[in-house]
Amino acid sequence: MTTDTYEVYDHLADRETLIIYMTKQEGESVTIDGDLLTNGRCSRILQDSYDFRPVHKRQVKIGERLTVSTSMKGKLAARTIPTDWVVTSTEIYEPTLNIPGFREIIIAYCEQLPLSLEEFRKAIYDSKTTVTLDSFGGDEQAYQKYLESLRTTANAKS
Amino acid sequence: MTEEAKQEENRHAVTEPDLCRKMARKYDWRLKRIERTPIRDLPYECVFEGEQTSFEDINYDN
Repeated sequence: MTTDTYEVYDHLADRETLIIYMTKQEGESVTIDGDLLTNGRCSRILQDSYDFRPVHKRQVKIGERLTVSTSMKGKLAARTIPTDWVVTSTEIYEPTLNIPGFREIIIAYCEQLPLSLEEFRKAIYDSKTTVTLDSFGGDEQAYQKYLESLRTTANAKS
Repeated sequence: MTEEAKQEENRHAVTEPDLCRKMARKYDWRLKRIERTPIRDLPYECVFEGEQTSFEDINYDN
């Protein structure tokens, strides 16, 4: 017996999946600080994310904990810190229009599940930031100028 | 603790926030969020899911 495999054409495979992390309970919201548009506003939406991975890899895991980062002074590096918000359920919405903006939209409902102090400490980590030609949108001149400024700074210190 | 202990993040500094989506599309990545940095020439940072990439990279660390 032979088994044939068929590749199903997905005309939306090149469109990203929008993931909206929001509070599960209607009564729960967070206050957003920022400019005039957002300052002091309360919202159930906690974070948004855009998934461009191959379609079969796109998923939001139940148990995923939202994180935030803080910059490290004078460095292109950051400290990642866990929040209390954890994904506890998801809903997937697929487009009905012929020209959709996204392949699908996933609503990831989150609930507050605080970590113990020890768990919180273990979940914190630091990571460096990468700079490549893509950082400058492919502008080779701007990238080289940046690299030169790094060399100048390094030489001044030595 | 649930599943989270350490969810790896792949961080790239950029000059404009739109470049985060361009990079995600180019490399088939998941863009988790966009943040501000204190670096004047590279004021935004894309936080992608996954291991930190090391291709042709410069790690700014002074």
